Amino acid sequence: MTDPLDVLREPIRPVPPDPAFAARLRERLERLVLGPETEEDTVTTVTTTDAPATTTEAAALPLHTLTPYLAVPDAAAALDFYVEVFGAVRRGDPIVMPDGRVGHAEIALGDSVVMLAEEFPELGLRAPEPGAVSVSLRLEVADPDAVVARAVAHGAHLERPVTDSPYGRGGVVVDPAGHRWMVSRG
Amino acid sequence: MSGPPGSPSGVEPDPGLALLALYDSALPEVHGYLLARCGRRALAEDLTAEVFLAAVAACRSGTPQVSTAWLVGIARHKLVDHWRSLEIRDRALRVLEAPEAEDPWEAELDALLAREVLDAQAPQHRAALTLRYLDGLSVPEVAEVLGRTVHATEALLVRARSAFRRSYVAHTDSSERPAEGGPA
Repeated sequence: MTDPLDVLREPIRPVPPDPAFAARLRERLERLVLGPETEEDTVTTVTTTDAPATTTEAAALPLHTLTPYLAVPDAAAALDFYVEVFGAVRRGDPIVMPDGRVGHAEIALGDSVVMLAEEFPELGLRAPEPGAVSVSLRLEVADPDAVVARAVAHGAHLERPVTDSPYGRGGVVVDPAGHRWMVSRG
Repeated sequence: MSGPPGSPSGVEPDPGLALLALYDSALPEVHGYLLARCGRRALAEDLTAEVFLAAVAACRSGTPQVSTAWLVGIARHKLVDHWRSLEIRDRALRVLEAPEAEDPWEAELDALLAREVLDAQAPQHRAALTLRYLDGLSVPEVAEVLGRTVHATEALLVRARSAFRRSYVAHTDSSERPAEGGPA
């Protein structure tokens, strides 16, 4: 007996996608296949207390056009977190204000610089409140699974577990200072 | 460590390199397969990217037989995953359908209208009908792709065909009726 729905049969007809899409996807695949197999997790285990505060490499890093400047409730805790979890390297010593608050500190994350200071409500500078983040930071790492796991182990809130998406493998954490990091390998 | 392209013979070919070599010819096939079934260009591109990224991952963790048919198989699973996520989203909106018996349906369907009716079906029905009729898979093959038992797949196909038939008939009835004015 024939089935009337057999009329739906649809053999595969090749349809080239948009050439720009095809080129982007090829580039991604080439990077994945031909690139370093699995870059070693370059994060070292220095801490703000027992490691050199800075390296000449980090100190010499030029600023890019755009540099995030974060407000954090506790600069020492934030520096420890970024060093231990993200493998940040400190640039110079934090500047401490007369009232004891940290007014400026810098870290190098890969080839980028991040600046931070403690909260100065009188200047309108506060760390993000839970559930009210307006800026996210996308961080490129070799091993998002390991970095996200380490972030959670150091008190970050896991907002989105690591998954594969068309834009790379990654997850999202909110660090103890309230900043939202999209930890990705694009 | 993987050898460069054209490494000495006798060396197991790297599936990742085989995938790159296949890319230009396989891309239109995978994209064409997905576009004809999901109907939206942006979605077809997203799913196409997912297929090739999943293929790279498979090449890293094993030694698959890299071929266009293999990639279309991955595409079929990505399509089903897509419909499954839509189904989960929509489930709260629908009452449970009672199982129904199927009368034989003898009709000759208009292919274009049938595609239109198919596109309007619930995601789970659309998935089952696409695999069974567009792809021409057997019921056990459909069951495997859907991750269901053959029995559950048969029941799903009965429901999907009945729903399809209701829509199709409703559609042809309304299109044969002369146009009327709006509500009084």
